[in-house]
Order: sequence, then C-alpha cells, then structure tokens
Amino acid sequence: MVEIISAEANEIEIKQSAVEEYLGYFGAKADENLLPLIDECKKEFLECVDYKACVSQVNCCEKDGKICLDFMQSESKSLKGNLKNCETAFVFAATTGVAVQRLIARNSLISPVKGMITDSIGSAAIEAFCDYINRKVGNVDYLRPRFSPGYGDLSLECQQALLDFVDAKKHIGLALTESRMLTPVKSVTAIIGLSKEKNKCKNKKGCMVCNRINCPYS
Amino acid sequence: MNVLEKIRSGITYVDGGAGTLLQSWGLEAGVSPETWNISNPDKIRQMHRLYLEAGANIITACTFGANRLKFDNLEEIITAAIINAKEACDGFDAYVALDIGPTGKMLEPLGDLPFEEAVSIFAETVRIGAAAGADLVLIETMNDSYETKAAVLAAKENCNLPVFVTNAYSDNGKLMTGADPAAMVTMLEGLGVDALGMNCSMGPRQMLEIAAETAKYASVPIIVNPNAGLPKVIDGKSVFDVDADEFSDIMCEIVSAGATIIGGCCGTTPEYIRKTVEKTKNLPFALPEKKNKTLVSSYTHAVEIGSAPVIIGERINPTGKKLFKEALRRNDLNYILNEGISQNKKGVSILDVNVGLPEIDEKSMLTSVVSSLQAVCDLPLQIDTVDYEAMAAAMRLYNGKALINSVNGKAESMAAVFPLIKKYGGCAIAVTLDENGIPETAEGRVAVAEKIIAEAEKYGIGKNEIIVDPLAMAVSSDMNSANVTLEAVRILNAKGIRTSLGVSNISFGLPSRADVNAVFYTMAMQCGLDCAIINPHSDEMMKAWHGFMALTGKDANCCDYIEFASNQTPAETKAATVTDTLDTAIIKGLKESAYSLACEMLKTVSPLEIIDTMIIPALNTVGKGFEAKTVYLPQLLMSAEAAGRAFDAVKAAMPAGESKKGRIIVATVKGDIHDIGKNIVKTLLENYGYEVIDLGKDVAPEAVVEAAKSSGAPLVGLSALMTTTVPAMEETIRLLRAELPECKVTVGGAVMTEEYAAMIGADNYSPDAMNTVRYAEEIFG
Repeated sequence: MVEIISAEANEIEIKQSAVEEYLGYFGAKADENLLPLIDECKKEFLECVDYKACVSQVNCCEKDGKICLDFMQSESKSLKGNLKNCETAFVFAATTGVAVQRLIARNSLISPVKGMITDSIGSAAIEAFCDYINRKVGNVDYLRPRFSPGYGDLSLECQQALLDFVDAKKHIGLALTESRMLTPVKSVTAIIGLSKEKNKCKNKKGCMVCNRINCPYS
Repeated sequence: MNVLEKIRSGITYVDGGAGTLLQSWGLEAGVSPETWNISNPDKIRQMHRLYLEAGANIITACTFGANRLKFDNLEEIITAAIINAKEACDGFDAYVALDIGPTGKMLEPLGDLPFEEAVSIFAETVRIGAAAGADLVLIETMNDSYETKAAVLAAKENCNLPVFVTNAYSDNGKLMTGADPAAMVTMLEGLGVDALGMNCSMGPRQMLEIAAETAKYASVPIIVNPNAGLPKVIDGKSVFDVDADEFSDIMCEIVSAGATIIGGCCGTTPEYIRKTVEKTKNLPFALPEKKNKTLVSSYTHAVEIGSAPVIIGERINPTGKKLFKEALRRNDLNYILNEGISQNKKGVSILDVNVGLPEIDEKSMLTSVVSSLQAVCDLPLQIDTVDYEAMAAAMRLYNGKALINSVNGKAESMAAVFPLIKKYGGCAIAVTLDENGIPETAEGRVAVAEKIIAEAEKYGIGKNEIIVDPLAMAVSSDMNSANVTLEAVRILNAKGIRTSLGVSNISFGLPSRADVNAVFYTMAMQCGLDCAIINPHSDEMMKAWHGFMALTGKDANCCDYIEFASNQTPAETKAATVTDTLDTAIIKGLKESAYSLACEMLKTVSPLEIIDTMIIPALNTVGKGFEAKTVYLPQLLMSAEAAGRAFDAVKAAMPAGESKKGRIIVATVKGDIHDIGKNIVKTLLENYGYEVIDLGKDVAPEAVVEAAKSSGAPLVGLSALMTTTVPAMEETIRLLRAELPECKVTVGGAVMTEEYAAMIGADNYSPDAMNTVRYAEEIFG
C-alpha cells in the first residue's frame, strides 16, 4: 500500500543557513551582495516547486546475514546497522517536481551564479521535505536516521526496486536514468527504520556513514 | 458497426480496473498481470467476461505494461492477451483495445530516454497488438505529454486502428510534467486521435472539473475512466473511498459535463461499471461540438489566437544579427536559448525559431534548438524554416502543437507543408503570395489566402488552423503599401480568417524605424490583427501592445499595463559608487557597472590593455582569495559574470582573432545529467580569456574525441557527479589517449578524488573551478 504525501510550498521551511551551506559557506555568512539574488531565486523556486512523495511501510528482518525488506535483500553492513532491531521500516521516494529541474536549467543559462543558488535551494528544499515526511510517517523519537541508496556501502543498484515498489513514476513522476540518477533532479529515495523503543541508536545521521575523506559536510 | 461508429452512436462503456480483481484471485504483489495471459488465461478471460456482462463495450486487453523494456517474450504476451480478450467477447457486441501504458522511463530532456527510442518501444507493441487482431489502441495513464506524443505517433505509424488516449492528471489539474487539459486537447487533436480524456490517479469527483475543462476545448469524444476514489489504508489494507453507488452517481454528472465514453480504473470492479451503465444509459447523448478554435500549445499550456492580439517573439533569427550568426556557426546553443528566455521575460506568448544559415546543417540545428528550448522555456514555438526536411524533423520532436512559418499559395509549398500539419498537428502562417508573386491589391491577397484555405481543407485541415499573413511591405518604396496590408487584414478579419504580420518590414528604408513600426502595429491591431511577429525588446512595440490591450478592454483594470509601466524605469539594482573602477566593480561582482565602466574606458584605452591591466588582475584577486578560502564560490562566480560583461564590451571593440588564449573542451560525461559544476568551470575559463567548447551533459566518449579532433583543443575538462558515471569518464579518457595521445585531460566533480583521477588516467584532478583555470594556465603558458 502506497500513501501519497504532498505539501504546499509554504509548508516546507527552506532554511537560509542550509542554502548557504550548500553554496559553500560553512560557518561563514554569505556575502552581502548575494542575499538579494538568493531571495530572487527563492521566490522563483517557491512558484514552481511541487512537493510530492510516495511512502510505503515494509517488514524488515535479518536472514542469512542479509537485511531483508519486502522489495529487496541487501548485504549492506551500513543499512543492516541502521535497521538493527527494526521489524518494520518506511520506504519513500520524494521529489520537488519537474518544474524545479527546468528552473535550475533555465537559471544556469541566464547566470551560473543564479543556477548555483537555485540548485542549492533545491537541495535544501528536498532535505526539508524529507524531514517533513519523517514527521508525517511517525513519531520521530522512534525513527532511525534516513538512509538512502548510495549511503555507506548500500549500492545504488537497489534504486529501481525501491522506485518500482512505491510506483514512483506513476504517483510522483520520479524515474531513474540508465546510470541510476533520479529524474527530476532534487529528488530523494530513502528507508527509515521504525524502532520499537525510543531511539537511542548511535547510528551516524544519514550521509555521515559515508567514507569520503574530503567531504565538506563531514 | 466499427468502434468509431459505436462511439458516435451513443454512450460507450469501457471496463474497470484489472489489478484489484486479479489480486483477489491470487495475483501476488510484484508479479506482472500481463504474465497471467499465458499462465492463467482462464482467469483473464473470466475478468473480461465479468466486465462485458456488466455492460462494457470496450475491454482493455491485459497489455498495460507490455513493452520490450519489461518483457523478453513480448510477442507471446501481447498475442495471448488479445486472443484472451477476443475469446471473452464471443457473444458480446464489444471491442478489444490494445492497452498501452507508460514505459516507466522519463524522456529527454528531463530524463534520458530519447524521443525516437520511446516511439520505437511503443511501435513494437502496436505492431504485435494490431497483428493479433486488436480493434483499437488505448494509450492510457500517461502523465507526460511528450511520452503521450511518442505513443500516439507509434500507433499512427504502425497500424490503421482508431487511437484513444487518456492522461493521468495530478491533483493540481495538470500532468506530472506540466500540461493542462487545453494543452493536451490541442496536441492530441493535432495528432489526429479519435477520442481523448483522462484516467487513473483520482476519483470521479476530482475528475469532474478536468472533464469540464477538457470539454471546453475538445471536438472529439471525451473519455473519463476514474479510480474508485482515493486510496486509504484501513486495517493495513488499501481501499478506495468511493463505492459503486456514489461512483455511478458522479458518473452521471461527468456525462452531463460532456463525456461520452466512460468506465473505471484502479479499484473499480464490474459492479461499478454495471451501476454506471444502469444510471447513465438513458441520459441525453451529445457529441462535442466542433470548436474551431485556433490553438497552439507547449508542454504546459495552449495559446489561443483570435481572442486578443498575440505576440510572437522574432529574436531567434540570424537575419541581420552578427552575434547570432556567430553563435550558430560555433554551435553555441546557450546564446540562442538566452534569446528565448529573455523574450519570455518580456511577455511574448510564442517564440519564433529560425536558425537558417547557408553554411550550417539546418535540420540538425533546428531540432537541437527546439529540443533545448523545451528544457528551459515553456512557450509554444513557431517553427520557421524554408527547409521542409528540417520543418518535418522539428515538428516531429516538438512537445506540443507548433505554429508553422510558413506556407504560401505555391502548389509546391502547400504540397510540402500540409501533409506535415495533417500528421503532426500545427497551425500554419499562410503568406499571400503564389506563382504569380504578391498581389498588389488587398482583394488579390485575400484571394490567395482563400485559395490556400481551400487547399488545406482537401487535407482535412480546417480554416481555423490557417493564419494568413497578408504581408507588410516597405512603405518607403510604395506609399500605398500600408493601406493595402491593413485593408487585407480588415477583409480577412471580417471573413473570420485569422491574421498575422511581420510588422517591422513596413519601415524598411526609413529612419527611426521603431516609431513607424509601433504606429503601424497599432493600426493593424485596430483592423483586427490576431498576431504579430515583433521584437519584444523594442519599448515602442511593447508600449503599443500594452496600450492597445488596455484601451480595448482586454486588460482587466489595466493591471498588466500598470505593471508594465512601473517596470519601465531602468533597474540598475547594484549601481557602482562614483569611485568604482572597472577592477573594483569586477571584484564586487557588479555586472552592469562593469559593462559601462569598460565602455567608458574603451574611449581612451586599448582593448588588450583593459584586459591585462583591469579584468585579469581583478579576476586574479578574487581567484587568489578563493584559493586562500577568504572568498566563496558564489562571489567568485559573480565576479566572473561581471568580468564577462566587461569582456562583452571589450570584445566588440577588438579586431577578430585577438581575444582568445586557447581552446578548451568541457563536458559532463555520458550518463550524467548534472552540469552545474561544469558550467561554473566554463564561466571561469571564458573569463580568463579561453575559448570554451561546451559539449553539454550526458556526452558520449566518441563525441568528446570527435570534438577534440575537429577543434584541435589541447585540453579537455570532464565532469562526473556520481560513482555510476565514473566508468564513462574512464572510457572517455581511454579513447582520448588512444586517438589523441597529446591531449591533456583534467577531471572534477563531486565523487572525484586525487586517487580516483590518477586511477582512471587523468592528467590533472581539479578539486574546484579555480584549479582548472590554473591548470589551463600551465598548459597554455
């Protein structure tokens, strides 16, 4: 059973600090003369964003050293760790919509800096929408950190199975390219473990399980 | 009676959902229903019979997902499905539809499935289904207009069966990729479908409004196949919230709204169809009236020509534009696309696209410009070419119904253009000239127009699809020419014939042409001109249009005029302070100031000196700041853009060939659709004086090698965002090494590291855009 979650543009708070981080300002304030441009791009973004997600609840268990969800089995240690002791999980696919992809393309043509800002707003927005989905599906105290294909040692191979399982192309227009990229861009697929006890899990949050050494976010 | 006669004789009923029924009979989740055509044919036939007994006249064979991407035994599955359905129909007066659903892939430019590949996938399904004996093709649940077009073309080109189309609209009343009902009706009727409408994704209540909206535009019968309401979870099970009684009640309203072919989709069962038949069979039956509207469309909306004057932007055209011609020769699509975007901002409704130059391959250029424009601009396009092959290719690829510029009264022209319009849909600009030239009188031009309209009718193309251009000719060489043209507009308008003009020809040979053009434009609108090809960057023309709209009651409360007028004051948001010099303006990232300061300097300083003493040092200051982490990437880019504007001024004053330090190719590798990083690198390189050949994104290794060979560029920059596309990068480098061993390669992108770069054989790893500039300086010295 797939549930569709959508949100109005004004229901999702796109934090200025998150946008600035995506623009590369870690622990620094954005240049003053950039702020009007960010505002302008945000306004355009809000006019075309269309938040939609499809969510489904699945069983999860460990069998023969693999982590098994209704739609896939995986040997990923990081996912296994993330879902430890969870009997169910939510899987979801979420997008900001095709108009956002078109806006990023258009703004990149007009001005690379506008393109970069719009791209950063898109990244901040889809993350904020994922947080919104977290709050919608259950009590956040019992939810594990969101885990996406590509995190840690979970391969992107499972992306298609996940999208098919929630019928993402039909419900929210989200598809995969041959090289397993989500289209439209600024979309996310993820698994959220539902723990029986209040979360004391020490899992690192989301992409923090990644081993990349020179990532500015770590 | 065939199915086309059937749908014209009374309300016709389509079956309901298959999945719900088959699952209740044991179809497991994750198993494709199509496989049951072979493994459980009895159950498939039983399902069809239940719907036939409920009163369905059209049953959909179980082929929804049957395409070569999903099944290896496609022929076996489709043939079995059609045979099962045919056998079930035994004893019933019913028709079997070959059911075609989406491929599951996203088409280019949003995704990576090429349009012709999609056509070919659908074509295979159509050929098998038609050979197996289907009575019609039903293309359904399509939530992308472009994929819908691919499926319709495949059906039309591979069988002679009637084609019905239903789209899946989202709760905002649009398809997932943006089209509203008017856009879909416009495109689909242009393609010649036999019936159209909507299915799936929502219940009957939500569909009522979309059905009513569709009925405003449609001239062919309307199909409505809703879900049994919206899905809800009760006791962990998925159920739909509208029962058969309520469903059938609302279906009565849907018939009143104009639908004549009705059925159900997900969650509906034979009971839903039976009750719907019972309640609606005696309702009055009325087919849609022929609307005779003149409509063109894009992938989001339709534009009607005939209600208020429509502006067609003329700027995508090389005639008389040196920079545009250069851009065409360099294959610089970005320049051309920016011409589209800037006209969009000025408020045009349609964009004319003319890329004809004797020395370029017009077919290839026109198709790539049309495709690329559709990725960034949602205006309907006017395909403007005298090369009929290019015209056909662009019309085929166009995501919507285009305006075609042009046809004329010559037999050869009409014989070339009308078959294309018949096949792909389109409205034609009909120029009033023929084998005898341009008639001197208004009556003569009207006669040519009527001849063209009569010829179009022989192809089944209505008068409403023809927009007559009675030709504006230079008033400087014939003082009566404006009078003749205006009189022709008046006569044509009185006869209910749509009109268009290329307005600016009128002032040819005169000074202050814009003033004359604007007055002539106003006079023509007053005579009933429906659309005009104009330059929207001309304030005079836009003032004339806005003024006319306000004065003729076509601009409610003059709102648009007031907004237009308030935007007339120049908007220099970031003015430079009086003390700013060119270098400080660049460092601060002030684009327009950098431009005007450069223009000012050019009066006394040579172009090269400005570059060496101002632009490059300013960029270096910011670049060093970036490397020292005191300046951030957006600021670096803003400075680069300001430097770019200064360059624009300097370049104009510089003899050709002096400007470039060297050639560099940049590309995002095959399979990768992200190009923000690559674009940043390109901007910086250009502003350091390099000539950048941008191959775009998703570029095949062979294309990179080909470009490196033909351009002789000694340096190639490759970008990849994800681990899945690094192999494509490696392959590109391998091929470059084999064919051009002396060519240097630098790589970058989110997943790249120093080690990775070395492993795949790159000469340099660029962790950021500045590094690429530094590496280029190293290579070019």
